[in-house]
Parts: sequence; C-alpha cells; structure tokens
Amino acid sequence: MTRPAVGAIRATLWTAGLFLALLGADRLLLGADRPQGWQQGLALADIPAEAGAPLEPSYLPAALGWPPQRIAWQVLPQPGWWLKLASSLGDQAWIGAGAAPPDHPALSCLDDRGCPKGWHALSRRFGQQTVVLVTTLPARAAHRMLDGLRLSAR
Amino acid sequence: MTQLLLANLLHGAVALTWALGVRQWAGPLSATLWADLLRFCLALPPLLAALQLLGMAGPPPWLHSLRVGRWTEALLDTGWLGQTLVGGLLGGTALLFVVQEAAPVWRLRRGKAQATAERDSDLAAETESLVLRLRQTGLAPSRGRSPQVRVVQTDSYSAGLVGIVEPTVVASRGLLAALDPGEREATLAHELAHWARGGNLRVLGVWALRAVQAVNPAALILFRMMLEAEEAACDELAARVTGRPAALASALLKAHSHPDSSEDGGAFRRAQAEIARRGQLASTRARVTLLLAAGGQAHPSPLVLAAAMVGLAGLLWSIR
Repeated sequence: MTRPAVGAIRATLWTAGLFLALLGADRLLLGADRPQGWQQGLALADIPAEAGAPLEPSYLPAALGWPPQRIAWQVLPQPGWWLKLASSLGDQAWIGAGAAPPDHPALSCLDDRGCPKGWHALSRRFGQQTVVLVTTLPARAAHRMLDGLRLSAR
Repeated sequence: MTQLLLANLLHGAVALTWALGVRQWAGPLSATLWADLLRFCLALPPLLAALQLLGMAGPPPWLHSLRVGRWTEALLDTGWLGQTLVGGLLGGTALLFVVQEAAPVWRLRRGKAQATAERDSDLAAETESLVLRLRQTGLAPSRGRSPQVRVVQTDSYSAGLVGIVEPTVVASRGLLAALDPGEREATLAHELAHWARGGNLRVLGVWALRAVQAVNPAALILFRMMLEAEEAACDELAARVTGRPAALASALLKAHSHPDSSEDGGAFRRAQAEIARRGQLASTRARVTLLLAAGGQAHPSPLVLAAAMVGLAGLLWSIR
C-alpha cells in the first residue's frame, strides 16, 4: 500500500475516532437525549430542569390532595410541566407552565376558546415562567392557592 | 446568541484538534496541504453557523456528537464563577486579537505610506520569467495581471507582496544587495508564491474569518498556525519552481538573522524588537529545516483536500 493511501486510512480512522470520542464524552457528561413528547413522572424530582421549574402549593383547600395525582412533563418540542391535583369529592386543579398535554381536561382555557363550564384559569409570573392554575375550585380558594405557590425543593 | 457563540467555540476547538490529529496520524503532510487544511479549519465554523442561521437541517439527534443546547445549559448552570472564567477567556482572546492582529495591520498601513519604491528592469525580467514558470506548471492563475516588482530604497532587510488589485512584490535595497543571484531568485519566487496562492485578497479573507471569530481561542491558534504554514507552503512552492531549496533556505537565514537597524527608541522598544527578532529567527530555522527535509514535495491532489474537507465538515456538522 502506498504512503498516501496509508495516510488517508489513518486520517479517516482519526476522524471517526474523534467523532466517537466526542459523542461518548457528551453522553457521559450530559446524559442521554431527552425523549420527545409528554412523559409521566412519579415525583417532582423526575421533572428535568429543561422542562421548567415546578412549583408546589403552600396552601391547599381540603378538597385537594398532595402529592399530585399525575405529573407530566415535556422538553421537546415545547417545554412544559403540569401537575394534576384531585380528590374524591370531585374538585380538580391543574398547576403548570409552558405547553399543556393534549389530554388536559381544560385545554381550551389556555387558548381563545375559553374554559369549559365550571372551570376557570388564573395565572401568575414566577421568575422566567408564567404558571397557570386551571381549576374547578371557587375563585377565592383558587386565588389563595395560586398566591401560595412556591418553588419546589425537589 | 449564547448558543451560537458556544457552537462556534466548539466547532473551532474540534477543528483544531482534528487538524493536529491528522498531522500526527496521517503525516507527514506537505506544507501546502497543511496550510490549506488550517485555512478550512478557520473557515468552516463561521460558514456552518451561517448555514445553520439560514435553516440548514442538522443530522438526526442520535448523531449529534456534541449537543450545543445541552452544553449551553450546563455552562449557564455553572453560575457566576464558570461564566466569569469563560467570559475572561473570551475577552482575553478578543484583546489578543486587537493587540496582535488588528493593531499591526494599522501600523503596517501607516509605514507603507512612508516608503518610496522604484522599478528595477533586471528584477522585472526575473519576475516575468518566474511568473511564466509558475503558470506553465499550473501553480499560478493562467490569466490576470502579473505582479509588478519594486525596490524600496532602504538598508533594512525585507521583502513582501503588497496590494490587492495590483499585486506588487517589494524588496528592500539592503536585502537585494546581501543576496547572491540564486538566493535573489528564490526570494522572488517565494513572494510570487504568495501571489500564486491567492495573494493579499485571500489573506484579507482569512483575516476577516479570524475577525468574526475574534473571541474564539481556537480561531486564534488556528490563525497563528496558518500564517506560519502559509509561509512554509510558499517556501515549498518556490523550491519546486526554482528547484533550489537550499538557495531559499540560505536567503531566509540571511534575511531573518539580520538585526533591523531602523529600530530606534528607548531600551524597552529595543528589547521588544530583539525578542521579536529572536522569535522570528526560531520560526525561520523551523521553516528552513522543513524546506530542506521536504525538498520539492509533490503538489497535493485537490481530491485529497476535498476528501479531508468532507470529513471535517461532517464532523463539525454533527455538533448541533
């Protein structure tokens, strides 16, 4: 084999090796790729920072329970997180920010269509994100709950 | 913006690592190929950034070798200490660009306006003959204006190619007097090799590429390496055209070991000039060693350069 041919093979191997080394270092240091679409979590700690910073209520009306009945988060294509709080008495509340999951019962509250009957939405800015509370609770209790939200320690 | 900047930093660092690896593993490379590789390493990062801004699609996510978005988040998560360190590195690099690369261009422009240059018919004939040889061997553009040659009336030792629209080889009277005919031809051939390789228009283009990456430390290193490699590439070309690498080596040593008598001023300025001269001498010795070892290496095939570029472009394209 001629010297230029050996050089070309070595250069190709070096390029491929460098690609694999970069790929390996990236995945090792930063972890695997975030999955696309909505994901279910078991605890607030499951929500990655890229999805947003979840909040937890310091006040909860007796009708709702904690921890959340459902935790949903998404990084791609649009970041967002939502927590569903519910009780056997029938009242419901969704706290979240960013994009909403498609099976959200009051999804229309977040666009121009307006909330379904019996639901209403309140929002407030917390740092970089606008947090929305979509609920069937009476307005006063909902306001108190929204005012009492604080960053989760996770 | 942060993501775009970080992408440029990562592209530059990977391109530099790749080039050094290619030289280490696939070498020895001809000086011409090495200079061309370094130039592409400097050009590809801003080109890819522009294409990305224009909406060029990237590879599928699993092929992303470095995920720029994730690295940006990781950098922002480091807090003020990490961000200050990175900011300091980028600011320092920008300062080096101003001091080492922008200010000298300004000083050179001022100095050039003061010099007076005259025509020399012997040198002009010699230049024409060399241009013809460069064109016949396909190493220089076959059309377009041939460079002129002028003698600068000064005792200092210098030679160079000036001008963009009308390229002119200028050589000092002092240097020409010190060289024998063979060395003089080799020196002219070296300066004409700069013209054959694109001249000052190409230098301006490369300088612009460096300027748009003024904060990128890898671009700084690539640019400095490329300037040295470009000189070596012109040495290689001149040696091939004249067939006398030893004459060029001798001319280089004569030109760069001569103290610059025009340097006056205080002790600090003289010391600064002496340090610069010794640095230049060390660089010249390296060039001479390379020149004598390589002799007149074969001109690299454009296919080799194209293949290398495809490899590097693919590698950098995977950084999204």
